[in-house]
Amino acid sequence: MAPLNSWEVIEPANYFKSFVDQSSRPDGRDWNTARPISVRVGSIGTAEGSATVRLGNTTIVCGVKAELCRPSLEHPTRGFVVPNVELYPCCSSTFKAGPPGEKAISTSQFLQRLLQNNEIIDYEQLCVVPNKWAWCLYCDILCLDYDGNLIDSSLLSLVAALLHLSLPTVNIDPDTEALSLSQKHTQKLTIKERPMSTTFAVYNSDIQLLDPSAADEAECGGEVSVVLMESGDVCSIRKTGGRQVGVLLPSAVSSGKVQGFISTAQSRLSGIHETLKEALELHASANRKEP
Amino acid sequence: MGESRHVSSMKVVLPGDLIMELPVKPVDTSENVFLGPGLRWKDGVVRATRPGILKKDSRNLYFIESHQKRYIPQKREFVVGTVIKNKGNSYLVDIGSHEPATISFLAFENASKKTRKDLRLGDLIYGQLLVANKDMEPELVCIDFYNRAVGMGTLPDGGLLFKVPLHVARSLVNPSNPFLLELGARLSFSIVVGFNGRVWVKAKNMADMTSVMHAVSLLECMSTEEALIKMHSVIDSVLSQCAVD
Amino acid sequence: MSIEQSVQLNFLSRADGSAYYCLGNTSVVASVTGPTSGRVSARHHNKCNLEVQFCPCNGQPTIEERDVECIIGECIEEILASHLHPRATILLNIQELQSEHEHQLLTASLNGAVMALMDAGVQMQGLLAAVTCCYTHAGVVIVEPTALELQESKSSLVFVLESDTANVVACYQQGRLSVAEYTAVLNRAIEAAKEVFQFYRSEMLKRYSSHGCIDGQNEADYDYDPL
Repeated sequence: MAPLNSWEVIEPANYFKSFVDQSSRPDGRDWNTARPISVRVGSIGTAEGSATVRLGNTTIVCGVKAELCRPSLEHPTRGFVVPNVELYPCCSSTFKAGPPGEKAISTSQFLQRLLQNNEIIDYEQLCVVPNKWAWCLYCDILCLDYDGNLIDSSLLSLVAALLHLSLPTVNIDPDTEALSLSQKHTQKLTIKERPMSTTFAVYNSDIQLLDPSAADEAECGGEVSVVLMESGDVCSIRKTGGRQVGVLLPSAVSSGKVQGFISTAQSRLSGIHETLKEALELHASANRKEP
Repeated sequence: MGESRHVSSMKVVLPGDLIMELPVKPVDTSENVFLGPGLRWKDGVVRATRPGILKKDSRNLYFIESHQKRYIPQKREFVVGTVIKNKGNSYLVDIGSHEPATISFLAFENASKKTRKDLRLGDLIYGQLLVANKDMEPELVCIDFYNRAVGMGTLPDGGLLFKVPLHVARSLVNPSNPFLLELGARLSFSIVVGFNGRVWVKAKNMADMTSVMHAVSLLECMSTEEALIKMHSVIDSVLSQCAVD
Repeated sequence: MSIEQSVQLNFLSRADGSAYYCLGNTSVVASVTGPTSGRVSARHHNKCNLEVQFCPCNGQPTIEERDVECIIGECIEEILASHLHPRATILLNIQELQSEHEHQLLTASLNGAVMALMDAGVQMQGLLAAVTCCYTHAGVVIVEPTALELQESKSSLVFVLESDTANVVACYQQGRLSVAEYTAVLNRAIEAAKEVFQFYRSEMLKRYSSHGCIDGQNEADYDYDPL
């Protein structure tokens, strides 16, 4: 095993190319095969909503913590949802301890914008008393094991955790205006749409790899994430440039390719939604048995 | 400088512009194409990497004349630098590139281990780049292949150093530059121009040096003809200003 | 393109290259320093390090500005011939002066940055143009819309396109669209990017012809020896 391994270390680009030339990847998949997805909701007991997603080796835990706060003056009848992606050094040696890096920031911002601009959540439902109390949902997305494709896995975990979320009902004493929370009576949050993402890593203008692992990402230029609604509408397409050395425009793709990405993403859509539904049902049936 | 070659300007190009297709090396050497600064050959085509004027000389050398302020070392170019550090057997010289150049204490005329050339920090050096490639720090020498100084070495005290954009420096090194000839007719001074955009001037008094600096700075934003017209008024105003002070 | 764009190159005297770029009501100053020596910890053995600083016109830079820096850095690194300057650092500073919408600001910052890099003469393998588009509820594609049109639209998008092949380098979207609608917007953006590239070219023509170099007056005896 040693010679092959040292080849990978000394000449990662050539090592990777030898696989791509054979229409495969170092982990044995061909270009258009995604890794298996597993979703589990309700994995954290102390959070109001939680989910664990595994995409191959990539493991993401999303916990939603709900806190009451004052709504903003601009939108007195709306609550807040704050996704925050954390990439600690324990998930991969490429991430350093300290303030969040570029990848964590850009993923958090992407998720934030995705939720806000597409009215996926009913923000009005998060308001308890207009101008006084609203729910702020802190969605902490923690990567436990990083093996590529952060966007797909973090979005899936976020959607699953929000679907699992049950908010305690708030009772307000009419005289003292004191708040009391009732954990017995909880309410679900209405999720209007379930956006799902499919990511491709661009190796060159002809070859794009579906669902890239960390090794694929390191050898590819940019990434294209196609986020689709359940209906197949384009919710957002996010294409980042690459940070690669010496290759002429490694990650630029023609407009025809973009069409191809959308149709591939559409074909994967039903499978992902099926997995998510199964996880939610499993959790619901387990809850019914328990009490 | 070598023999004068006819250079013709072709057009203004932008980075990424296709200059020509050059699939394989021609067998006939007379059809050889030489690529100078600003051009890159990749996958059988030549593309521009800098904006500027595409020029071609009589022996099929193509290059791009572009405006730049930051110097990127090129082998065999003459530069003016400042000594910034003494490292025992060598000195570090700031020539405006991203890494300082080194110069050995032996790289001066008549220098040996016994007759060391001692440089002080802040000394100005006019030298030639012996080593300049992207993976190594540049190396300066003040001697030619026959160990002669041929004008290189430390510059004497009392001069004035200023920076100009690189394209101005490149036009100034031409000995038949009409601007410099006209300036020389007006004032008497000695000038040393480095390809790195550093120009050193020495004249009998500060007023003359300042006027030369201001006159040369005109070239930054106008053509030689315009600068020739403006030059005298600039010198007059500087000299009169200095006379008042 | 309905919107006016203008640029002043070599706007700052101390930077190696700079551009003051206006696109409609959005204006930015971009400056480039380098290749220069940077932090030792950020050096790469095989390429230069691109550092992007984005300064908003009011307040301290926040996490949103960091995100914009990431986007710009990733796009610019795509065109930079970064392997030519190993261990060096190229600093790209972008100062927002005026803006109404984040998409317009991103577009102006990217175009300004590309012009500043051209002004500095940094070696690049191609050029980029960013284009803001929006798709209205009435089904009309507007290229470089006003801030009001962006707010009222169904979806707004920024495309970053490459000069030679019109390939998509980056793309950011707010608001959903069907596949057919998306394609329509993308095709309009590709058309609009050509105008931006034409603008780059005309500005460079202006710059280089004003110095009198184009008519062959500066025919020096160059001693470049490629061998």
